[in-house]
Amino acid sequence: MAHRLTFVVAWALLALLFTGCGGYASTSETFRRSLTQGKPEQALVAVNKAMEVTRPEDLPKPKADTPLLLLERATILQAMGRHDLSARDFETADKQLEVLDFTNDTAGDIGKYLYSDDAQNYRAPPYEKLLVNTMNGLNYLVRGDLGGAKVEARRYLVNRKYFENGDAEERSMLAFGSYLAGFSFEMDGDAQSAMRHYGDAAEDGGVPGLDLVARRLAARSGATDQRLKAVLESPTELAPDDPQQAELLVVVQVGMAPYRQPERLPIGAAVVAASHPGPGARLSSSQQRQANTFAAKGLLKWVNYPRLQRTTRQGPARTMIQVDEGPVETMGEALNVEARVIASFEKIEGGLIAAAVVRLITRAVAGELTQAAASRAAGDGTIGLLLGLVAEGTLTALDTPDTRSWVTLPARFDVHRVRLPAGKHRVRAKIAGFSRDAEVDLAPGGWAVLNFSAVR
Amino acid sequence: MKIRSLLPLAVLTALVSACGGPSYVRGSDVPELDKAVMSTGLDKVDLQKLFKDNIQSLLNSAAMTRWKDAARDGKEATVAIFPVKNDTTEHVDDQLNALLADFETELVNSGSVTVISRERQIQLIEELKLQQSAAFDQDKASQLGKQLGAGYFITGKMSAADEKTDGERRVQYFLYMQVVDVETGAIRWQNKAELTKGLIK
Repeated sequence: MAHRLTFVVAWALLALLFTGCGGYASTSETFRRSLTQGKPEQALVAVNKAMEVTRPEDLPKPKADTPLLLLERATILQAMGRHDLSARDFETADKQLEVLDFTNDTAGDIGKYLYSDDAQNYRAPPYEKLLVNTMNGLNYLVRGDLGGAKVEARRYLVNRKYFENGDAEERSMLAFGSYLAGFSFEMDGDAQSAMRHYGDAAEDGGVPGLDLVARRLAARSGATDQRLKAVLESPTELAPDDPQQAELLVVVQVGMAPYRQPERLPIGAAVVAASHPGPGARLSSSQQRQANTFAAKGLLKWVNYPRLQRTTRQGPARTMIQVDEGPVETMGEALNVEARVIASFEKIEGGLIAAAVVRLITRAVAGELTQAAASRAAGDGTIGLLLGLVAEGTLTALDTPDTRSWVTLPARFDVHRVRLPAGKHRVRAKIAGFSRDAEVDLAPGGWAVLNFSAVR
Repeated sequence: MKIRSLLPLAVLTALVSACGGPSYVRGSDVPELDKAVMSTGLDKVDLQKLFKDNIQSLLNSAAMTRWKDAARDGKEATVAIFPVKNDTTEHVDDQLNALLADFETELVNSGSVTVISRERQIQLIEELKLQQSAAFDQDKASQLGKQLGAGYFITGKMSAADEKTDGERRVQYFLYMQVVDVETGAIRWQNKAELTKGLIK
């Protein structure tokens, strides 16, 4: 009996070793909640704690969630106006995500179907990768560093090429990054490169104000792009740029994109959802039969899988902007990340549920096999039942729905670009009932980028 | 049954014994440390290669011969070293500055030219409110060189061909360096050095 007890205790200990993790939804809840309450300082403390560091200057030891947590901290630091540290975190995360992309993860790929949804390495979806370079480009632009902004623009271009064969929805994510790349090259005096990026932006759906920007650039430099031909040949007369004026670009990050939460789904509904054809592996007919058989025996009742949770019911309110005592204007929506996150998730949701059902079947089979084998070996049905339950329980404890995603990702990017007389100006952005103010001093012929972040 | 019952305990032991903390090391004690490739950016080994390729070309160039001849005649040439423009997909400006510092050291120690302090150049660029990129605009660079009292300036550009596929990312770096005559704008020396970094499965 003693050796049997040892066996049970050891299995229980193994189970305990793995049950401490509540998944990324649990890890990220504190800082996500702090941000929604408009407390980025508290969010920074929480994300540092999650990375087991004490200061934002510290880089964490590499662990499974480190790249994601660095993206979260970079976003929080950007919202706090600490653009230098934000840039460092974005760059570190960017490199780590790239390494994960190129890492063979056979064990994780198998584990996803055997024991846990988040057994695989984290592979950032296309929109997250593109936004790393877009948001980091902003960090450099705000600091007036065109060299750094252009490096991010070039990195963006490499990723853009990698994703440009995607569908129209994915491509709609590309316009804003191309627009910022164009701005960086235009302000650095490289008109033709700038126009090429503006052409990319136009091709991918455009950004508010892009036509006027392209026409002014063409009038000033002669730069052109076939994709903007119709715009550039507009018969409307354009006044030449006043050299005593300067360029101001305001970018506002608003709200937070939907995040993933674990959810329980009745087995019947799960089998139906996981059997529809679509991207990702779906349940085969034999798996459907197996799931229904176990469900009929009462062995399977619920499926745990990650479901998308919106931060607000209707999406964040429009952003208004006022320069000095001028009119209050509505900022243009440059990028709707929320819509892209939802569309992207809807495509893979069936596959996620299918993987969860397969794991459930694996657990039920493992439990039955263990029970049968242990009953035979011990000659005692009760011990067999007990060990079967322990085996199934251990696998259940290991199973964590994959809730990993960049949870602090802004829901939307709004832009406002204007030419102003050189000198000091006061800019106020009104976002969902509160306002952000900044003062900017523009040199004749110069430029500045202001960034307000209302990630909440 | 006995062996099977011990299996989970063995797994537990292996899991616990696998833990080991990181430790700081000195490059001289771990020769492999400098050889390890940590990223697609530039490291010490890359900088040494780029420096070696360029400085050997410069030391063997007609420009260097002319400077040596002038020094023998008591008319030592004055050279300014301008920043290398970073046209790559990596934030390697600090590494490129380190490369220029090596250039500065080599030229100073050659005894054939007078090298204008790079600190002074940065200050002047700031005073003139020129963007860093102005140093690479040939006209502005010549203007800057004149204001520094330089007869020549050394400058360069680092570009990269960065490509990514499902299984690989490859960054091919090309460093172009040149010596420009401030008075005439003529290029007196030019060299290209290249290297490739990658991330493969």
